[in-house]
Amino acid sequence: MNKVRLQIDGYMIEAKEGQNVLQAALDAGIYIPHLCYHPDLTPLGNCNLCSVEIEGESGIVKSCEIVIKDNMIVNTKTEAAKRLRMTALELMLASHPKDCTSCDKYLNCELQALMQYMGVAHSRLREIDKDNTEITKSDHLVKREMRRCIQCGRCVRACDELRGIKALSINKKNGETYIGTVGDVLLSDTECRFCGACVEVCPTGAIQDQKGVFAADVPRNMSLIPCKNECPAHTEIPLYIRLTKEGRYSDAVSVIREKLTFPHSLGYICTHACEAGCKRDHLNESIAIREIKRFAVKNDEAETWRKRVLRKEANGKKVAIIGGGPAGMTAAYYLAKKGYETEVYEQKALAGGMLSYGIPKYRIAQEVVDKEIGILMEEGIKMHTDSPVRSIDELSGKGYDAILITIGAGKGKRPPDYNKPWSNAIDAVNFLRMASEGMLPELGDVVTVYGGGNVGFDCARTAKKLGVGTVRIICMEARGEMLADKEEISSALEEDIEILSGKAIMNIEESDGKATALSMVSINGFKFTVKGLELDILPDSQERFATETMVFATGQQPDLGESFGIERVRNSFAKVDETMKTSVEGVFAAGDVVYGTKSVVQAIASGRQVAMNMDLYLGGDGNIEEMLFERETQNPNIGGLEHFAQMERTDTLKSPCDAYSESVRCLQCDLRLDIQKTKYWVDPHFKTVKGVKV
Amino acid sequence: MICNVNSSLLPDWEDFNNQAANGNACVVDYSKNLMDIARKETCGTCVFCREGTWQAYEIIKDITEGNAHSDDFELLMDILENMAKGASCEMTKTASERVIKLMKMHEDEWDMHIRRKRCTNLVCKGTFTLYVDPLLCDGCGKCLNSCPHLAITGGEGMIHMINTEVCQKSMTCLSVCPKGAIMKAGQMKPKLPDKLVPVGSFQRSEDGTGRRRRRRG
Repeated sequence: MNKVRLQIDGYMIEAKEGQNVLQAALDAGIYIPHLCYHPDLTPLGNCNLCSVEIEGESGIVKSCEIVIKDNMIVNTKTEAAKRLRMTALELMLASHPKDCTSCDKYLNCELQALMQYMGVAHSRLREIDKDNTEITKSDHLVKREMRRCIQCGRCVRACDELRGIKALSINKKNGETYIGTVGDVLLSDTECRFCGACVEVCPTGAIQDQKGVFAADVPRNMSLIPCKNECPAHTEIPLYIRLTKEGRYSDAVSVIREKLTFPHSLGYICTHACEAGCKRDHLNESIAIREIKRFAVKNDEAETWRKRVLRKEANGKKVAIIGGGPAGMTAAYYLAKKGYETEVYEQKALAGGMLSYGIPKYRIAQEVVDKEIGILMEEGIKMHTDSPVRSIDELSGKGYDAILITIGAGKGKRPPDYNKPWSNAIDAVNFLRMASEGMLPELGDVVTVYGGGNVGFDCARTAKKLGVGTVRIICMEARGEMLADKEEISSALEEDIEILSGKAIMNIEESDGKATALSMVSINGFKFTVKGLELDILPDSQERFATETMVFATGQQPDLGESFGIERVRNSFAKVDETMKTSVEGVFAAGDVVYGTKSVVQAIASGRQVAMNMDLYLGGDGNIEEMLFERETQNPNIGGLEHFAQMERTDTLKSPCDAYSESVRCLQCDLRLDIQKTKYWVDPHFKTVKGVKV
Repeated sequence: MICNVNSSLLPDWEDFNNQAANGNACVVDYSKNLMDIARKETCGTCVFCREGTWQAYEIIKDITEGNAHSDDFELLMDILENMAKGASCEMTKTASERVIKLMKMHEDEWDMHIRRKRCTNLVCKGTFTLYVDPLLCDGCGKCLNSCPHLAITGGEGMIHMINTEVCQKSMTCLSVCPKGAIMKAGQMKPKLPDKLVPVGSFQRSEDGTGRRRRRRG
């Protein structure tokens, strides 16, 4: 592109041909006040703040509307231009509220910054009250305080030019101009896609995000995409949803595989923190992200990601991984690809950890897990199954440069009073393992599960499926606060499982070394204090049930014995430093053994992290990132959709058509990051002029 | 140019003056009308058209209502000059230039409005009060019912009286009165009955000039 040379305020600068004077000045580090101008939008010339004088042109012109020419001489600081700008700003402020400190945009407001730059206070002019600003109503996602609107028209242009939607317009009623929707309806009754572009470009507090939609304590590029932010592995969810919508399942899977091993398994059993964060949840219902992922993986025939997988030459170094669960296998996968000779020691017959031995088969078929492990194994991981390792000493002398402990949290944990060797009491983790191996003892006809998390429900539903007549889940949390997923709870109720929430077991009767009956009370609430558990018991609420099998789903902990030879915390957790290294040189730990039982996706994220750290430790660059899908420039013009806000969630995706109708509901939060940020006058960019003083 | 409307919507001062009763229009009142039309007709996209015309209208309105601030002349001039320079549309530019011209040509009239709350032709509402001429009123009661602010008292056969504290100068009564008895009074207030008296019973005092009263403010 050709360069144009022009003079602004005594500096000779170079700018791109076709630019306007304002943008050329801003790029060169010369600040000219502006409000309605936005680099991504067509200049409107409405605010008059960018007024300048140009030699050879009569009067004052708006620099955003003038295209630069060679040898142009621009003066931004003449008295007349300054006076005009001042008056324009004063006029805007005359109808703008003066309660800056109670505005959520306080100290992050372009109007306020301009007042400071130009030294204009709320002033000598008449205050003007406008009526029509009251017309506009907020909704669950967009807070609109239109009395703070200065009618710069950025939002209207963003909606129209960037998105091609035209949900917003400059309206006129009773001689008063205001920004609203066409026909003054709620945004949710327009074709608005809730992309947030209007919020992004609004220079004042007129259009804002509702509080609580985005996390406040993380960087913008994460917080604005809540699904990605909530996902422990930070998968690029909006991108793969978009690709799924377009029927490009293989590309979608490539995006997923950049961050996740076991994507198909996750499609069945992921705890989907993403969905809890989903911005659409505030509008009607979150996107069925997990289902979309599963659909994409299931329909990925081309497997295009394979062509782009990063593979390094063997580097002659050797690592051992103890435990072949999601964390261990993920670390093994990435380390193998980085060129390490990788060996996994798995105590069971199958790798997969909780995927194979914890989560019931009715939730995820073993073939799915096996196939995914197979894909990881293609990278040349050497697997030793049925090979429990109880101490790192067992591996010494085998030439490993580093060892990773990912043994998970495979030991049950009961309330202290019930730590008794009753023959019919089983810890949930053992119960599920035995169920998956088909080795459960006779359960009788009454099974009581203590604990209302997902694991408790897994046990109860497994028991029910095995034909047990009465299955009860007892938990201290009230129904609304139970830790299990909603779908687990509703499935359990459908399967005729009794859920006794808000109850605490007070006593378990025993006879012949068995737990035979339990007494419980209803509680209003509970808390853990220094003295232990404190219950708020409802009077006269005692109940007694007989039971034949008692399952404790009251927590799990790592089975990390002293024999391992590494320092431990809280009895059985691995103690690690910030690089996930244990007390022993060259020995790392990741997954549940470090932080306790969480989720498969968390274990995968932890496995990725430890692979990076181990690579760094062993002299590598620590980079395991892959670009399995070549990014395309995203067309921001998404267009409007009728009844978009009302579109309902589809939970079961059976056809590409279902996948489309669910994916199209996505608010595409990631598009907002493509909108340029305007720079304030205090920005360091304006400290030095990129030009030659004439 | 982003606005579709143009200055043809604005009435010309000469026409405006000719149409007024007895050709006695007021430049300040005319200017207020001009800005009122401009602010309502502009597309409102540009700050001078949207906020400038409105601000100018508010200032001139205050002047016509006797609520001017002492520096309003300079303030208004400053804003109008910037509007004339900066406005995107021809209508706002023209309206501003026209008011500037009238301010310069009739500076005395503007000054009288601003500093002395007076309007030569008793057009601007802040500069006059309304009264019922006691010699013309026949006590018909029509004005009584027409007043939207219930500012008129009276009874059948009694000379009606306007309570100037309540009167908002809606001017409704003027067109209703069959006798043309509703009058404007500027600084000079005529002598009027101080309570309701029967029609025909009121006499002007000897000198016929009535008493003189200084208005507040």
